[in-house]
Amino acid sequence: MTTGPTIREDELHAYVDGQLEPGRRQAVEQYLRSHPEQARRAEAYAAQRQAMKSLFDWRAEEPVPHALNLTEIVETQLVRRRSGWRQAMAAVALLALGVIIGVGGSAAFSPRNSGLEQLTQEAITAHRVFVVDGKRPVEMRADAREPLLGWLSERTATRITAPDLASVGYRFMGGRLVATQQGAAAMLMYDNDKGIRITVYIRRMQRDHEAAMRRDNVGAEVAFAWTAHGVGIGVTAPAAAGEIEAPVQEIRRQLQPAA
Amino acid sequence: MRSAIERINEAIPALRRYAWVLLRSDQDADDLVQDCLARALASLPSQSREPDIRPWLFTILHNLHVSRLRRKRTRGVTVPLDEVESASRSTPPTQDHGLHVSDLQRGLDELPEEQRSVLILVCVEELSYADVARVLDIPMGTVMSRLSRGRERLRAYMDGQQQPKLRRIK
Repeated sequence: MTTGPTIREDELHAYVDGQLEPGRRQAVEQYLRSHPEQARRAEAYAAQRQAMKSLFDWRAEEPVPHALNLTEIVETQLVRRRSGWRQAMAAVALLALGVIIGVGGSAAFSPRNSGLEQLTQEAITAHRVFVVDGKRPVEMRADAREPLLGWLSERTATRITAPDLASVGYRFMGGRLVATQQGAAAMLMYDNDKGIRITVYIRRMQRDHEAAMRRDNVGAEVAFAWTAHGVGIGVTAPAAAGEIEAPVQEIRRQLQPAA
Repeated sequence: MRSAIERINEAIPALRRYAWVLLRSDQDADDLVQDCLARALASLPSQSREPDIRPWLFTILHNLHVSRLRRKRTRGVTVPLDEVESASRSTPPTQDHGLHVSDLQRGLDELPEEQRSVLILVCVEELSYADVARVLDIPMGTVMSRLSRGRERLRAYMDGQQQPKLRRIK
């Protein structure tokens, strides 16, 4: 009754893993039809495969922490290892990084666009468009602070407050509403005595409700982004602004949601 | 063709996933990935023309993992993974896909690491058998026999949840 093709043990696995040599599929399927016990094995292995994927895939879908940012790693290598060839290698890598980041920004982001990456992109785009506006960088100015924040809060369905950055040398200029695919976002703008403008971009998140802070250098801008309690915040500054961590920490501290 | 750096960047989530499966600790896993990336970047120029960069990255990760384990063992400070209480490991969100997830996790924990690595590289990372052989530096026949034994053992574990549990004696 069970005459017909025989298969090797390896082929049963290759069948489950989609690694069968071309032309063997039919023989394997025929064999499994006449060998129910082997067919049950193949089925069980396929189920294991699927279950393992769902068990571990969440890990690959998380945003990549800042410490694993390639630019960061290369910079660390440059600082720590001053000896010859390693430094040269790292310099080559840094150059290559500059190239991909320079070519259109979006290339620096992985294809699986997480919620936080998307937010970062939007924050940088809004920053680029509005900070260079000489006439009307903000829609409502800081002297209408209360109506502005009330309006932004209402439109974004998020309580928007404007952090006070006087201690780190930045003044609140005002803000505006920004339209995104995810709904309304609020953008607040600040400047300092040197005329450097930084922006704070805030909107509700559909994904990545809690995400650790990430830093991205994209072209001439540096952006920090994180989310807390379903609200995403992106801070963008010109990379040439120098010491930007202090304002970012101050913003983060003041926008910390009540736990 | 996309640059090597870009391809490394794209592989980072998969490296984090594999490292987490090996170590079950966020901090240790990310430390391992960070070392792996630093090495990869340092030896980049020779690798730029590889079509698929992932096996190379997994090889670096695996070798670092093995040498760290060896170092820890000689220092004698570490507790083998299968003696760690499962409660002290970080747990992923549970999902149901036919097989009971926490049973699967326990079943995998019961496997010797050499079988677990092969299963994960084949099923989760979807590397070809030849690439798995290269990553783990073992012959292809060994890959196949570990895969076969690991799968069968896992199946027996999942089938026999109600039977008295036998502990492996080393």
